[in-house]
Amino acid sequence: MAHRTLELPPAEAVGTRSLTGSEAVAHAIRQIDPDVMAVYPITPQTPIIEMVARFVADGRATTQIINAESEHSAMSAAVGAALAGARSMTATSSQGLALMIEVVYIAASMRAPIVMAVANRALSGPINIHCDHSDSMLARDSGAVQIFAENAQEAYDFMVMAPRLAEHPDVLLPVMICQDGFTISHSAEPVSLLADDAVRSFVGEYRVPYPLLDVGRPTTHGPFAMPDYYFELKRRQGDAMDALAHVWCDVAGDFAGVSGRPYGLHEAYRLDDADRAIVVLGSTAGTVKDVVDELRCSGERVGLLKITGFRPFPERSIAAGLSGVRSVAVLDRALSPGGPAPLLAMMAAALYGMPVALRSYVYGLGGRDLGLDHIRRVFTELKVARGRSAVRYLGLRD
Amino acid sequence: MIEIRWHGRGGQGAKTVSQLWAAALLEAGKWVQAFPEYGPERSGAPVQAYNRSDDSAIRRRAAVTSPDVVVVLDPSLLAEVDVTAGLDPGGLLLVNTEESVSAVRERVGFEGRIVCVPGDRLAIGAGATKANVVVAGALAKALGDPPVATLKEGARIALGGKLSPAALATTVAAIEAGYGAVSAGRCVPVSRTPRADGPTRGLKRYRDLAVGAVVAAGTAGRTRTGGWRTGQRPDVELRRCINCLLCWVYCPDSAVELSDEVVFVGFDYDLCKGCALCVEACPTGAIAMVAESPALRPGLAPQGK
Ligand code: SF4
Ligand code: SF4
Repeated sequence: MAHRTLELPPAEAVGTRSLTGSEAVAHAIRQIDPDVMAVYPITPQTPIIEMVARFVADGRATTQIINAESEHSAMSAAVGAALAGARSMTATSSQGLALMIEVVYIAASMRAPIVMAVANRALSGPINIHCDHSDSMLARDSGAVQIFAENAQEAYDFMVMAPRLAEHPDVLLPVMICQDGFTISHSAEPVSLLADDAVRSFVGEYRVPYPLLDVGRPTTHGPFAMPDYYFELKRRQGDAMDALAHVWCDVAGDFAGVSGRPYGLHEAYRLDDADRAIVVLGSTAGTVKDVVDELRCSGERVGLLKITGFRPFPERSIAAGLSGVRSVAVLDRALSPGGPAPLLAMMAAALYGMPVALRSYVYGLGGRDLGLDHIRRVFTELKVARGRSAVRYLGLRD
Repeated sequence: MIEIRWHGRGGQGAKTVSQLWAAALLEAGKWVQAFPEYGPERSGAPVQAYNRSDDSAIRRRAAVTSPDVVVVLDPSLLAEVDVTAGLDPGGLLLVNTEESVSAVRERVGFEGRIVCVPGDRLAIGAGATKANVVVAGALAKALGDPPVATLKEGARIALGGKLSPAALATTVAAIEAGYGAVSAGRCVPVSRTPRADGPTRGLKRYRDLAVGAVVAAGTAGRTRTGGWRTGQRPDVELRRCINCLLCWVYCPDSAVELSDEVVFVGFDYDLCKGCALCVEACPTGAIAMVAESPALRPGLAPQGK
């Protein structure tokens, strides 16, 4: 759908400002100016949609906001809009994502490139508003791309990249840009914004292969698939997710050209000569970096592998990044009762056959803080790690 | 092991008769399986059910792709479904039809043994509403197994809890009618070499599918859903038609025919599935459902449309 031209007030000042993760993402949405944003409020996502709504009310964005009566409806509206030919977004957290989840699977299978701003929050029960990754893990197998931000800058940058990731003709999948609820979404820190024009030309025009509103070329979307075709269609969806790895290279490359900030699907931090490493998603990576630097000062060979792309999971490059490491601690901010924690299971598969000791740690559920001491303890325990061992809980009163 | 595939239409009791068959063979000391396969869940739509029987335990859960026996409960299916798919020339095709064996052979091009039974007529004669049990009786005779007494016992076991004593007696009479209507035969299990192109013949590879399972519009016109009707079809009183075209909008199967001048002219009964949505949609009451004789249904007319 072509962008409407508007008499906009003078563009926001470009440059570095103090913004929360929510505000940073709301600015990205204002700059992208999607055609439709279908939402239902939920903590800690609400500040995102509140700020976008203010931008729209002030005439600084032309997005049609659909206040749905539930997240299930919000996501459904986004699917219809995206397939009709409108660039569509939503934002959610926790129970909201849980209520949406049925439609997230459908959006992925109908190849609706919806950008989803997610502020991660623990799933009930008990009811809790604070961060963990259980909501994202619920969407693990939905077919939606999941990108985790370490800080507000990454949340902004990934949000700007998201439409091009989602809408690439080889991908056409929902893309979740995940930031840790409160820890990032409600914490102000310096964020460098691109110029509005730069963002608009970076994301370009919205195109889907079979827009429903193209009445000259009518199509049927969402047909029934029996055993003779369901499997093939799901397999085709898997290819779209796999394609994201090379699409990421292109999009992140262009983004680095515009912003000067290069991103991979994972980040290797001081891993080159490391013999011990921590693997983690989201904001905790920043805390781990500080501990790595501190231990490096005293000569310890420790490093971090931060997972940015949780879906698709950059399995091969992760294995390559950890090839010289003797022991690895995987920090999961979610549980899978009765089985290995989600990230641990994926890391065990990624490192299969490699001579690496693997330790599983679960931390931070329901917003429980993870201090620097906990991370120091993990690196100490890694010194003596052999093979596989039972899961340990960081910050739990046992 | 004997494998049977039953072809029917939703509501004709293909699944029920497969369960009755299994109950009878269990009585006869066999190990049995009976399972349905669902497509569009609507009465009149083509459905399949399957039986396996053997002297020892059956553990396989794979689909039946090369049956020894195919039973067709509705002759209109011969024009709509590839009923002999995977059926070895050494196997048996049993069809509920008024047509002759040679006529059926010409329709389906099957070289092996064909048995025809006028199941509908026999069912009516026995006071039954469905031909499925008549056909089961004929099948028992054509295969030489199970004995008719065992089949009747199977009916009591499978249906006794659901039917009144009178309805059960009718069912038993219908079984006997079918049993008496065909000549005796024997079942020789055929060598089972599944066709290499079997169930995937003509289907697309995953790479060739359109993104998001999108399909071109207008496919309703290519599926001959006319065979789904179960005794009623819409009829119009043109005098009352105001050409609002609501029936055309609501018809799920593109069965409302318009002239080049976009004027309602009638229904395409090869496509009309008899759902009666047009009756509800019509603001003037111009459309009503009327009883139809099976002869008006597609597939029953000689070859083709
Ligand atoms: S009954 Fe009416 S609405 Fe239904 S398929 Fe036939 S013509 Fe269409
Ligand atoms: S809905 Fe009734 S009045 Fe309207 S076109 Fe159809 S038959 Fe005619």
